Amino acid sequence: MMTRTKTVLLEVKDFSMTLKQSGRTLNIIRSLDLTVHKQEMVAIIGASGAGKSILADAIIGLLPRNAVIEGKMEFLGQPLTDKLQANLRGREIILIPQMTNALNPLITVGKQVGWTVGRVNKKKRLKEIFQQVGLAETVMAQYPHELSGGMMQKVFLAIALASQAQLIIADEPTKGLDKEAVNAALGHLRQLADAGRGIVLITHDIQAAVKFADTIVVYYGGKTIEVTEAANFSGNGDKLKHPYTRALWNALPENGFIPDNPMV
Amino acid sequence: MLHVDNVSFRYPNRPWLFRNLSLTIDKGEIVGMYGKSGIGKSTLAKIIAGYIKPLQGEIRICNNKLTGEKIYPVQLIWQHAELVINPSWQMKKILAESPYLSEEMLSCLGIQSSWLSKYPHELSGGELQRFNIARALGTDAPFYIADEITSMFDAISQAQIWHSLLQEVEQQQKGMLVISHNQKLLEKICHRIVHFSDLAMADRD
Repeated sequence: MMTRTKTVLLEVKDFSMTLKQSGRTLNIIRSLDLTVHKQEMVAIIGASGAGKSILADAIIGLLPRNAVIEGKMEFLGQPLTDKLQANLRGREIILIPQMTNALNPLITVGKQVGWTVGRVNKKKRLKEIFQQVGLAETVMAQYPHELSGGMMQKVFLAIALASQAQLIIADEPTKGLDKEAVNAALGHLRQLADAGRGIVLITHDIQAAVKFADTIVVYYGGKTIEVTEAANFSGNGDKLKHPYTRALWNALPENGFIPDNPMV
Repeated sequence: MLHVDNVSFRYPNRPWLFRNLSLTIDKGEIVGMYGKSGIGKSTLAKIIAGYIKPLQGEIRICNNKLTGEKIYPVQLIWQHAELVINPSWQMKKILAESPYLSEEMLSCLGIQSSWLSKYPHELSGGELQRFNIARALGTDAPFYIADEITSMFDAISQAQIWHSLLQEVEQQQKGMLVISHNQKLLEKICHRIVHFSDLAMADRD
């Protein structure tokens, strides 16, 4: 919305990545763009395998060793070098990962969230955060395998809330949550954005993206195909420019459930 | 007809998750189920599919109690594909566990032949989930449980997966329980929708 005058937190332009694998070179990502301002929530939607999660890994610098990347990637105007990424990771830039095996299975969740909470008033802060995300205090003493998928998502959200990061990248943070919990989780992220952080929300939940994000970016096959205001997702999708974006909108169960992909 | 008959369950040293929960699913019937995160939906799914024994109650098909079948007649399609697929097997080996899988079914689910020689970590979450669905359908079991199986898909793939899954299920008169938080989806695809809390006696002390 009025984000143009705000500080650019993250700028990714023409990002590409190839994977070298047993002699073959795989072109995984061709050209992705992403701009995030302070106070802005940008939702990334698109097909599975479009490169959304890879981009997230690239921003925090956790790509596999055989990845070769090109293009511009800057945080607050500084090129994101390996060294800068190592400094920012977990401090200024934090990733809420998608895979539920990202938690250490041998350590209680309370302890794992605690790593992100500062030393000051640690116990009290932890309690507050668990309450905020809707997890019972008893969950702190539990191990990851004892939690449901939805509870696990809340643990990741707790880690994001505990952090002081300026940029939060949330990869499918509401997968497996009920509607109330989705609204609560995204409401928390929205508040963080309003307080000056930048949020990247990778999601398939278009309705939630439309409700909470300012800007929606659409990726397909490793390319950016549309960047648009969230409000343009309405009616029968007339305000959306790209046929794939319109097809996504019209594939929702409430909008026709049409299984046609104009890209194939 | 699949009967879930007065089933109760609690994890050790925890309060009852649910008590006397009952549900029936007819042949050819698609039943939707929703309820809060952490309320026990996935645990119930595991009980019906035979992964966990209920502390009380039983699961029957018609009048037969289910015990030790070679291919269990209720197949669970899991929520997190990455956790239930052997990470060191090629995808074709994973599919070889399902005897009734046809080429047609694979293409119906959008599985590309080039994926068969890959390992799980080389596929995206959505791609893995297609294998997960194929593996379950390929058992030819009479009943299926789909536990939040398309929340990792984009809207178009989601519509595609459901159109092809429903086609298989309807054609062969399978019964299916669909667990999802997406009520719009349940309204679209199910014959009947139930709320988890209405199935059981709530008891949380």
